[in-house]
Amino acid sequence: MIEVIIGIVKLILLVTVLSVYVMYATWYERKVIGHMQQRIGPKRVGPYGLLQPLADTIKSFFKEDVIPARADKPLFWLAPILAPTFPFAAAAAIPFFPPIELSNGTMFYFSVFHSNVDLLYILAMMGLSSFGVMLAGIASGGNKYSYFGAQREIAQVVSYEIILALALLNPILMVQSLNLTDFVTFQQQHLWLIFYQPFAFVAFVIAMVASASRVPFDLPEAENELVAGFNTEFTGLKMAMFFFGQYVTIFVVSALAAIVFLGGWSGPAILPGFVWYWLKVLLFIFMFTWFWGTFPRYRYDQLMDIAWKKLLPLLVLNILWTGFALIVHMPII
Amino acid sequence: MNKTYVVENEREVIVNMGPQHPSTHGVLRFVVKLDGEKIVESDPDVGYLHRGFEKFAENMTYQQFMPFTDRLDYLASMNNNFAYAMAVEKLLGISSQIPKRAEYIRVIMAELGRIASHLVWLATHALDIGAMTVFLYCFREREYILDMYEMACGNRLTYNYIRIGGVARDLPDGFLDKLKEFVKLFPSKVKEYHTLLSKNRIWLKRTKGIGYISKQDAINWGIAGPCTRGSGIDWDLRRDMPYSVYPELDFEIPVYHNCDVYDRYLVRMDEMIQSNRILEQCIEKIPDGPVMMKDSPYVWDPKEDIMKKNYALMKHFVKVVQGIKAPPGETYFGAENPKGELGFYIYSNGEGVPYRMKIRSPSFINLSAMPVMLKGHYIADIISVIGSLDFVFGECDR
Amino acid sequence: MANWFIAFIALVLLFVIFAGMVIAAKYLAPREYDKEKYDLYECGVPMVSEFRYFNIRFYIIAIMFTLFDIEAIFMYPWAVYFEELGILGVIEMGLFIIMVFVGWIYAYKKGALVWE
Repeated sequence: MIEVIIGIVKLILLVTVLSVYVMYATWYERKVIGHMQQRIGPKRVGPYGLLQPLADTIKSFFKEDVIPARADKPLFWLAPILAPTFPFAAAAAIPFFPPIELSNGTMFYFSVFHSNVDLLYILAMMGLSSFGVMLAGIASGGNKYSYFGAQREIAQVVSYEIILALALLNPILMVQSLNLTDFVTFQQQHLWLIFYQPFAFVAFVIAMVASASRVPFDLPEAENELVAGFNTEFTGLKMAMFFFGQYVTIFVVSALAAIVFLGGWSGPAILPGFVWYWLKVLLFIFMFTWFWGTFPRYRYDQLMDIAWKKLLPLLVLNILWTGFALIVHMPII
Repeated sequence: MNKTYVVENEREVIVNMGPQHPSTHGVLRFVVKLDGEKIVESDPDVGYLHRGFEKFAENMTYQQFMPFTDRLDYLASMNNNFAYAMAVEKLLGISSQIPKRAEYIRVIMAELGRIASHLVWLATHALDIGAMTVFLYCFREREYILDMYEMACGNRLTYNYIRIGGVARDLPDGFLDKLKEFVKLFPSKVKEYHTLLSKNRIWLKRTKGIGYISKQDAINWGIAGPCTRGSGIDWDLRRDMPYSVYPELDFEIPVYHNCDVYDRYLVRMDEMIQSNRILEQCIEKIPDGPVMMKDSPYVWDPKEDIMKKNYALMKHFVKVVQGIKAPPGETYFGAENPKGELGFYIYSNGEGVPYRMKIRSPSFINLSAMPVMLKGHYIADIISVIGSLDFVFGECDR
Repeated sequence: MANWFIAFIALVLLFVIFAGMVIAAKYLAPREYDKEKYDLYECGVPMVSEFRYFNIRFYIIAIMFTLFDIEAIFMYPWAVYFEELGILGVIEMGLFIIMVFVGWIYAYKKGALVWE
């Protein structure tokens, strides 16, 4: 019982922390992309525009709430609620700090949910997180652009989900655990997994960008093509909810990549573990912004080509090779 | 009724793009019939920005119409001024009497306008395909050009600088220095765009093989400008029907043969470099002297004379009120504008106003070939084709 | 077990929190009815045609997706118990992967991965 209460307290903390994170992630992103493009970015509201996200949040609450007359009302309400729920649920399994050992010998984990199948749980929740977007398209009641957005989201899920699962399989083969803490322990004893599995890492990065639907794979909301894609009909907070979910997804995949491939909180002892961990996570979050500033957008049949014709066979071969090399004790690279 | 609006089987969906769509560059309305995301039929619908310029012209003196040409292709107003002035001068038969300095100033302005227009094209084209940074980089350089324009004529968008018989005023001090600086700087900037886009795999995937229009089709549809040169047609009015001082300048016409969006992109990128070369030569060759014709029945006298001399004031009064009496006849003049051939057909019956004026706008004609380019592509390709055609609705709808 | 109970509670709680936010916004936000505004429109003009059917061209890929996703999930237990299963596991999994992979090659040859 006490565990459950601790869990709920942790959850409320998580929601608070991630909400603030999302607010400032938007600020950070606008600032970074601004400087990449030789602009300044937000600077009017508060010093360095630091209150801008707050203003945006308040604004999104007070925007007119338009529900089209022809919309599927229950789904129209459900979609923006589901959109952040599942990414947050996935984030519940992400550790925020390295676990510490308590005086009575048990480990205290800085994640809401901890089990021996962390990875599978996160993958499952991320798989579900696309439902919000799909429902949004269907709920809009016949707006074709919303439908296109939802359809593209499905196409995108169909493409990246397998790559995400298979790219994680290589590290799992080496660590032989689905527990995120075990991954870090393994990488503390050996090298980081990126050095054993560079190809899986590249595939994972591609899949994680696609899963967060960011440039170059921001197809469902490609605003130059589909007006605003799946959220064309959504206003105010309902629209903000989708971005809420998207930014949390970015955090989840970034943390996942940092733990699985870059060794989580392992690193030279000049800095404490959690600093290393957060540096790596921020590196990946920065990478998302960097991609945004650099790349044009793929067409979605091209994303499917990449996923199904190139990455899938190569990853399957990679898994076979990894399994073979591990069993006969050969170096993997 | 147009075939686009009729659904023939259950799988087809009609989607309306525009006039309020983020990437239709103004107010293009575009109805597409889709099978999945594949385009079966498409129908551009123009006219949302129609202001009746051609009819306006029939009630205006030749000079009065000059500011209207600014509003045709508002991204390259200077080129429109230039083309219109040349057309009227051709009608009046004074083309050869324009002072040399004025001609050079016009060419400098036109080539700057070409660069500015191509920069906006590149910016929006890249933004549509998703490359956001290129957009702001391009506008950074365009700002420089607009500053120069502001120095010369005080305006930043609609210049109204070129006059029949010359230009409104001489270049201000320091203009040529600023231009020199720009000319020196600009090729490195173009290289920057190339590094961002030209070898970018995603860019290549989104533009290569998209929007194909064969050489024959391009001729049949009457497409002009960079779009034809991307289809392998070596045709540039600046060289093939020379006007102004272009024969004295040395420049190349970039031609590419793959007929797709990527080649049209390369043509425009190369054109920017060539325009830069022209500017370089103009800085060296520009002579001193007057910038406006003198003692002509068709040209206004200098302001000082009007203020001081009685007879000049009377003449000016007559010219302004009645308009310049062009000799009866008709003329057509086409200039190589950034978007293609901008032509003015003027029919005069000897009065102060033209009897009829027809504007051949490259945007309109390029746009008409769009359904050909789009057939069989995906909805996402519409925007890359729109970007590659580079139309401006002020000019298309007139 | 407590772990999964926490996961379940977390999911429900998250849903309630976000539902609360959206509903709160409903009462905070102004709403002014206008027939035009609440009807659907496309890019500023009335819809040219009703939405009825939509031809999803990648449905074969979507079907293949379920197969391959299940394949990937089959591989997870093997990956976790890799040491215990040893060489036999690798061979068996290799055979399984090759079998599925042959299916992929068949689909590729049939042109199921091309949209036409």
